[in-house]
Amino acid sequence: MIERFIENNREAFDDAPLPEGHSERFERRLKLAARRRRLLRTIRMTAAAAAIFALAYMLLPKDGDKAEQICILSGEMLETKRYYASMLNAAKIRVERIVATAEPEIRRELDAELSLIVSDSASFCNNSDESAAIMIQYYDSKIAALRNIENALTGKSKCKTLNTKHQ
Amino acid sequence: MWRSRFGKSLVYISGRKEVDVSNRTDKIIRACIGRNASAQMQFYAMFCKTVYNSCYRILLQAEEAEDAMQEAFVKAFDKLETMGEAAPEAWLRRIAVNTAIDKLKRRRPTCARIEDFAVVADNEVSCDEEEISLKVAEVRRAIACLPDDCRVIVSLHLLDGFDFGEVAEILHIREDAARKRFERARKKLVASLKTITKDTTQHFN
Repeated sequence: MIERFIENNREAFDDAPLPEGHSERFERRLKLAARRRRLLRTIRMTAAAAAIFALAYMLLPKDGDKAEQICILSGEMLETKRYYASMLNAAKIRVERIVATAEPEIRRELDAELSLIVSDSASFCNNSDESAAIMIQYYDSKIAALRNIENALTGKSKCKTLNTKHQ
Repeated sequence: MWRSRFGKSLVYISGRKEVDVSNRTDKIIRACIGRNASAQMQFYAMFCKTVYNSCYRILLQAEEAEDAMQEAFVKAFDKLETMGEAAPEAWLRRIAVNTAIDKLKRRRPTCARIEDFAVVADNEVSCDEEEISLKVAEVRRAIACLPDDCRVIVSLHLLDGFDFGEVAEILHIREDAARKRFERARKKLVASLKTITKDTTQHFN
């Protein structure tokens, strides 16, 4: 039986010699593949960074929107502020974790963008419903910017809807 | 643990050595997942010969077979994390034969270079070994004489150790069609052997 003969002499059928210099050619091929992969990753990260900057520019409140006065907030307003601050912090940590794996140059740019988004410079000075709505909008836009960054970096196409619990 | 159905063809034998080699392979694979270039070269060195031979049997052309083999390794490194518990050699062979078959489909029909499979015995072996070496050369030559579809199915099933289910998956045909095609190829192989040598025919029939 031919099957038995092949099975008994299996090793002998694998003795075709490899062409000379195959290892060197493979080493070159591997280096080329690695370079191509790095280039692709850089292009992807740059595109993501560009999308993030554009989104951040659209979503961040402009300077004129910021309230500069110091005031006393009611318990409810403080609680809402704390809730949003913790959400902002959690989103920041998630994004930072992803950014840590990026190329150094892109990481620097993303870090700068991140610190701009999470800087909490606004104060809310009265306890009216209008003021509460402004505060919620202010934090929502920051959290949305962070989520968009996170989605862009992880490749998710759809942005999650904002948590509107407090709206 | 990695084992092929051809027990004899494995690099490791039994007992302690088997465990050591397996551990070493695991370490190399882990390093390859981390894109360690030296581990990738070690992994290549471990399997290049068998993978090259699998590609060569399909393509019958050294340059193309080397290209298919190296393409298969690059693909394998890109998805090594997905290998899971599969045997590295069998997993790699599967990628390689798929790559080689793709190349075979793309290329224009050419005649097999039968001269490359000249029946030459190794001078440095004993009489028995010489006889086997001659017969192996004859079988190899007979396989090379087969038409592409027959040669591929004989190589996949008899030499690469894929069962009919796997062969059917690789060739995108039904399992019973793979069996039928193999039977047809086997008959052609025996006929091809007849034309190569009378002695061999007696041995194999």
